[in-house]
Amino acid sequence: MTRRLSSLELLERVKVGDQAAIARLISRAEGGKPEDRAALAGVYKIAGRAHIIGVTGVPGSGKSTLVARLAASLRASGRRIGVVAIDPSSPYSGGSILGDRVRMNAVATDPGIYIRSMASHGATGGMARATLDAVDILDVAGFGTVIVETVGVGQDEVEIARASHTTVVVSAPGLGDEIQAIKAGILEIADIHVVSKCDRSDANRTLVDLKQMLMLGLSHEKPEWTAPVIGTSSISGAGFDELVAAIEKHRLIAFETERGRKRRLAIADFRLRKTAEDLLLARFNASLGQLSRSLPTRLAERQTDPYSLASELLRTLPLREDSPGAHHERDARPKIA
Amino acid sequence: MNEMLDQRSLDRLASEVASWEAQEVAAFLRKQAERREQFFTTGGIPVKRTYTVADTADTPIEDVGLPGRYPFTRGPYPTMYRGRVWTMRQIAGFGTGEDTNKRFKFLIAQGQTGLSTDFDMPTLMGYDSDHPMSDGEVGREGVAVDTLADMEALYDGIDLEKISVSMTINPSAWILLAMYVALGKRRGLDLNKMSGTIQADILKEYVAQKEFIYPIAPSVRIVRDCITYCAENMRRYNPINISGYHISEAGASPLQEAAFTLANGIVYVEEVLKTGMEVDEFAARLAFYFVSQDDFFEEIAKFRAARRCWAKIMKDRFGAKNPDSMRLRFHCQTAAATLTASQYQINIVRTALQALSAVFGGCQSLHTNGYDEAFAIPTEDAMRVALRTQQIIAEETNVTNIVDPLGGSYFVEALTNEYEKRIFEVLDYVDANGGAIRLIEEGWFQKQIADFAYETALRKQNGDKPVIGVNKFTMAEEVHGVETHPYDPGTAERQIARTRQVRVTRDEPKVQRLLDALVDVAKDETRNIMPLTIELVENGTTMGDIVEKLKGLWGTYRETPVF
Repeated sequence: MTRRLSSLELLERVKVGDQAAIARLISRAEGGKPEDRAALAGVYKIAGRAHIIGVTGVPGSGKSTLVARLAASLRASGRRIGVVAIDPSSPYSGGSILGDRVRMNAVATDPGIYIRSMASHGATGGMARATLDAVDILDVAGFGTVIVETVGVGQDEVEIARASHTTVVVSAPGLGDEIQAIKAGILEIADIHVVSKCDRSDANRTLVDLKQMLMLGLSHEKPEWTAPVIGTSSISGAGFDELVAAIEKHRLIAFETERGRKRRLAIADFRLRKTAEDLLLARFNASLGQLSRSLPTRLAERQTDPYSLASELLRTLPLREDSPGAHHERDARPKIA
Repeated sequence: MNEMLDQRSLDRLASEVASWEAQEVAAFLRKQAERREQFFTTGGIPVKRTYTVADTADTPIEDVGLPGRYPFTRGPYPTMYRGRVWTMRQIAGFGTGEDTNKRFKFLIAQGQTGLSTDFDMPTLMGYDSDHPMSDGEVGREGVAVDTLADMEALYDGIDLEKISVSMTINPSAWILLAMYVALGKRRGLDLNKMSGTIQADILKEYVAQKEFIYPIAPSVRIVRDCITYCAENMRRYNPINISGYHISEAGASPLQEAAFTLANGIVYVEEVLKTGMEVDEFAARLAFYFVSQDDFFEEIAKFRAARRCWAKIMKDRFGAKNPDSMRLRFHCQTAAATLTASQYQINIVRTALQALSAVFGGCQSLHTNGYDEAFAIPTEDAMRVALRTQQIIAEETNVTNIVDPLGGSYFVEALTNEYEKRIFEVLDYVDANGGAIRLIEEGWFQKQIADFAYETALRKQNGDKPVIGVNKFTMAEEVHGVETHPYDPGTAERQIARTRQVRVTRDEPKVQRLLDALVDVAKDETRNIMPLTIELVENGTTMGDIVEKLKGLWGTYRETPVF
């Protein structure tokens, strides 16, 4: 058995691209334990070079296949590509980490492409923070482009896709109730629209309807960037050159313009909120452990109401600064790597 | 090669052009670059700095030809507007038959020479005025017609043997045509003297305008029946107006408009030929309808090329012998989608220029849009100005004194050739991919249009395509004092009263018997649906009765929205 390396030691190995260290440090990020924070803080400070691409779309839109193909296309330029896939365990394939891996098989053996699934298991707490930490870890490990794949359902997933330099929203034909793409509010976050599965003739309808809808949103003020609509086929490879070109073009916007600066500020704001939320929740959960059983009893017997009691609880909880060992809530989450 | 030019002249010309580019052009470019690196037509076709005879050297002399002679590039008739100017046909329709009848008489008094009828949404979609779906729409954007009584009011006091009447209606067109026939019979008119046009172009509905009721196959069969009925009974009537206008308004490029329209035309011809009718028995009455868009010369080239392509299609593909079968005749309307709400008066100028394009392109009839149509259906004032615009072109500019005055223009001929080439490329693609109906079902046309529409919208947004008053030369805080056409809230009540009156006075068992018989006719594709439909409307059957009855047999066409 190897010695358990500290996360700071892992960080040193990550910096030189040690794949085992990357996997372990990401697992530590997922664990979210206080003793690993110093290393993750260290990661953040030296990260910031990678171009982060968020890819999102409704379930069944062919995101994973598209991401695999996109990773290979981007890889062709010589850059190393990291992929972080948030797996929703799973509205569509019942725990699709394996499913994703299988679909990404084509690229899984290239050492220049690193793929990591983050399982959310419905517990959204901490997912955004852990994902963005994982992105930074890949950044520090020298991956020039990091793709974050999320399912465009649920606010957190959408926000994570948004917390990237370039957001790609994937729509696909033949899903029946694609109106959920609107309901989920993911169309308006797109920097690039992709209609996948364009080898199918019903993709025409998707392209037509998407363009007609996007036209409604156009104004007569000249924008710095207008989201292109690109049809792709992961089977034939059609459209991927165009997609890569659009991503490259948008990268310049993201890194070299005022628009990009504002975007990075918004990402930092999101990051701050999500991390604070996570820390707060951790402290809250730790404190709850010592909660007297009398409070729920009073509530169950309707001596009081949930609102008054919750206010009382928040007033009396110490919400103390957590310390190593006082941290339980992440234990419910599976360890992957 | 154009036999009038020998190789030596062409070589001399080429060296002349080369030296001009090296000297004059180069000197100017050093002082000032051109406004763009490359120039394009609205439809995205690249255009050169200038054109010379070398650009048309490859054109066979007979392809340009002469007016009224195959392939009709220079016009369908030899004397064109020297004989008679185009029909000035301003579309009108609102309220009940009586309301629109008044507008018609106003327009005739102003010098209009043909009528064009716009129907309200319920009529277009086959609903009676008292159907719950019609609520709030009766007579709003067109005239409401449920029964023959409505049509009698609509054309009351108008001589239908003298003035041609066009009806803009599609999925329910055959019922309106039946009413028109019934009206003529009731007045004792000679059906073969009644002239006019019914749009009845269902394919472009699936492609662009989206007004359809039944699935594609029975819908096309109805169109076929209109064509064969008119071929046998109404010699001067156009049973279809194969339309590019709506395709264009849905955002298509001029090339897509022309090519897709001809592709649809091919389907109709094929459908009628399947009945055993000879091409020369009906093809002469196929009429077309195109938009006149904003790119002045491109539109002219489009019209000229469409004529040449159709002539070649009819002759080479369908073996037509009669020149009338090859003669593409078209109605033209200026482009409503180019009109703006901001600085709306300038719409008059846009419309005038587009109308001039249509006239140089050799249209047979013309509608010029009202300046207020970005707000509502046009007022009388707007229609008068629009009509005057045509009258100025016809009477003051003298452009009507020469047939095809732009014929021989190096640029116009070269662009016409380019259009012909590109139209046939599209038609070849359609043939190679299973034909127009198959491609409609696959959404291929729709996608081509959406792509171009989206590109155009982006170009307007980023200012690459100027729209005066909207993205260029805008004015702060506009107060438009435009007076729009009022909607009379009593319309529906008046309309419904007449429909109900017809229903209570008709021979109900007979109507039901005829409706059942109609289903039998509809089931048998070899029979023509027109004669029985005429009998139905003569007996007080409403449009809704007929449409609903056939929905039971054919069902309806649905496009599931993707988003």
